[in-house]
This record gives sequence, structure tokens and C-alpha cells, in this order.
Amino acid sequence: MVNINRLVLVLLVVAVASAILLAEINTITAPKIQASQTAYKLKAVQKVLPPYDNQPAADRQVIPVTGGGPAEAKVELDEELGKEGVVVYPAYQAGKLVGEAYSVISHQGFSGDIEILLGVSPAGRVTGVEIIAHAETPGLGAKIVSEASWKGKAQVVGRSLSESLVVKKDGGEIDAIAGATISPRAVCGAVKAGLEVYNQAFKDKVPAASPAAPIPTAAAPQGAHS
Amino acid sequence: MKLSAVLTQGLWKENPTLRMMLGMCPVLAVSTSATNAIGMGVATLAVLVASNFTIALVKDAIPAQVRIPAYVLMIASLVTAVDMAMAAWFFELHQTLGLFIPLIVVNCIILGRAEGFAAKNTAFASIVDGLGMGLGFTLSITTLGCCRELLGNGSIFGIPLLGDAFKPMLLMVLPPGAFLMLGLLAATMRRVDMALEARARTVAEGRRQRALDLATGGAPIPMPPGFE
Repeated sequence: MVNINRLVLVLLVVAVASAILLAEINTITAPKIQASQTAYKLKAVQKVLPPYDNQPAADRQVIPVTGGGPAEAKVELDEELGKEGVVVYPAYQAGKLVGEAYSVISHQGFSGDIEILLGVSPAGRVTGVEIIAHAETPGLGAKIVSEASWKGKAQVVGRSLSESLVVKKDGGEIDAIAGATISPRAVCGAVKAGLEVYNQAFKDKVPAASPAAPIPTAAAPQGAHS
Repeated sequence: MKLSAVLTQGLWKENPTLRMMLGMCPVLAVSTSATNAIGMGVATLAVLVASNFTIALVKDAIPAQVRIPAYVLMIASLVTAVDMAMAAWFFELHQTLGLFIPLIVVNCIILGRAEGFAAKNTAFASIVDGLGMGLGFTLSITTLGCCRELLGNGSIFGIPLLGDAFKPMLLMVLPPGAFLMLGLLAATMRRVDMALEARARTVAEGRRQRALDLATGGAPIPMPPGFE
């Protein structure tokens, strides 16, 4: 006769021990993961923006927009600023606005959403594109992440809405990837949607002149612009 | 069994991927490039060693009736721990492999070794077994990744090797390529084994012949009547 109580007890002990272990590891790793994610995003912000002398993260603005469609600007809750909307990282050079960076999500990836960080100049031209998150096929659609494996990533830079932002296969001017047209097409769609959002909602929302005196360190008081 | 034998059986004789055909899901899905393959291999190795060790430690306390759910719980916790640790310390690698790490939970190699080895052996032997099996898995998935990346993309570990004249065989980085290459590798391994066996037979044959020659002084062995 099997002692049911013992079986239940053993499973309970294993489950509780697992839960405690995971909670402990989560406490240790969560801040590091958060920091890595922020650092990763800021590195991308630096890549997509033209040269600047301010701190885009400290000067960031949260602009409410209405999303929707196959590709849309990413709406998120900025906990520090306590606002919900698209987080825009502005770049100022000598006090003058030279570009803005923000996330755009395409729902037309091959497997799941593709999040890109788009840099746009005040004239509405692309200053840079970085892929932030995706789940495309490794070795195939995943080639969108680097210019070395997808020429189109550099080709969209400098373009505005009046120029072609469509892959060659669909009659446009942007190179696709052999065997994986869907992923470059989704990125192009996201760039286009991002520029549209810029023209509709972002233009003139971000101060054209540097809003604050030069901020000496990253530890400057957050929320100064809220 | 000797520890050295425990360590090496996973590399060749009982190679989890190419011999036992276990854990095919990550092998086929992640071997599109050498970098991804080795990342997956090392993550699996870490989980395998940790799970073998933990299970060998607690095996006596766990009643046979609930051992599978208990093992699965422990393995799932370890995989989640590895997932979080990778996100914290190897963020870039986690960005590309992130999707596949949770899949290690359902990799049959892990539960297979827990049941087949760790539940019957000491903690130390189980660590050695986890190392051997994990290395065997890493080596075979990385070989597969190198072959597929070379044929399908003209590069290994992202370094272009075949020049611009090479036209990539795209099929190899697509799912069917995984099956084709896996079959070719398993067949090659079998062929090497057959060649080794044949050589061992020839050597043994020669040795017996020489022993016979010595015994009979080189003269033909006289056959009993009726056998001519």
C-alpha cells in the first residue's frame, strides 16, 4: 500500500524548494537583466541618431499616440516619468534638435513581432534603424539585424516618406534577403509606419531647442521634464 | 563502469544526438548556424550536469511513483535558472537563443539521463555522465551547425570561407536541410564504425593466422577425413 501522504509531501517539498530557488535567482538577476536591456536600448539609440551632445535618455519624452495597424509605434508605460505613450529619445547638437529615436513594432514578422528602433531627423528622414527584438528564423530572417547580412538596413537610411520604402520583390528599391522576404518586408513596413507616426504625431511635440541646461551626469534628477 | 568510460560513451558510442536520436527538437531548430548551435550546446550541457547532480543527490528521498513529476519540476527550475542567468550575464547571446532556452525543459536527453543514469548512480558519476553526454550533444549539434552554415551561407561562425563565387545552398539552412545533414552525419558515423570493426576483424584474423603458423610450423593444417 502506497502512502499517499508521503508522495504529496515529497512533491510539495520539491515544489517549494524550486520556488525558493527561482525567487532567489530572480532577485539576483532581475536588476542585471533590466540594466542590460536599458544599456542595449541606449546603445541602439546612439547608433540610430546623428552625433549629439545631450543625453537622450535623460531628455526623453513620452508622447501619447493612438496605435493600430500592421505596424505601430510602441506604446509603453514609462514608470519613472509616470506616463504612457511612445518614448521618444531626442538628440540635440549645440542646443538644436537634430533627431529623435523611438521604437516601432511590426506585427508582420515571420514568427512574432519585430521591434525596431527608428531614428528620424527633423526633416522626416531616416537617420538609422536597429532591430531591438525579433523571433525570426536564425540564419535566415534573423539576418535583418546586421548590415553585413542585409544590405537593406543601410539602404533605408536617408529616405523619407516620399521615397521608396518597399523591398525590390514588391517593386521597390530596398534589397531583400534571399529565401526570407517576409522579415525585410516587415522592417520596411515598420520604418514607413514609424515615419507616418512622426509626421502625424511627433513633429513639433519635442522641443526644437535643448529643453535644459547641459546635464552633467546620468545621475541628474529624472522627471525634470514631467 | 569506469568513470573514463562513462565520460566517453556520450561522445561516440552512445552519442545522444547521432546515436540515440534524442533531443531532436533543439538539434533541428537551432543548428542553422555554428554560433547558435554551440550556444545551445553549452546551455544544455550546463543544465544536464546540474540536473544529473541534483537528481543523484535526492534520488533516495523520492518515491518511485512520483519521480517523473519531481524530476520534471527540478529540471524546469534549473532551465529557468540558466535562462535568467544567461539573460543577466550573456545578454547578446540570450537575444538570439532566448526563444530556444525554455525548450531545454522538454529535451529528452535531460530526463533520459536523469532516469537512465542519475537515478541509479552516485552524484559524482552523474556529473561525469552529464559532462560526457553534454559534450557529445554540443559536439554533434556544433558539427551540424558548421556543416549547415558552410553549405547554406558559405561561412562558419559568421566568418565567410567560400568566397563570393560560392552560391549558397539555401536549402541547408531551411528545416529540410537539418534532416538531410543529420542523416548524412549519422550515416558517416556508422560508416566510420564499420571501417573500424572491419579493421579490428582483419587484425584479429591475422593474429590467429600467425599463431596457427607458429604452431604448425607453416605447414597446412591436416584436415580430418571427410573434410577435404
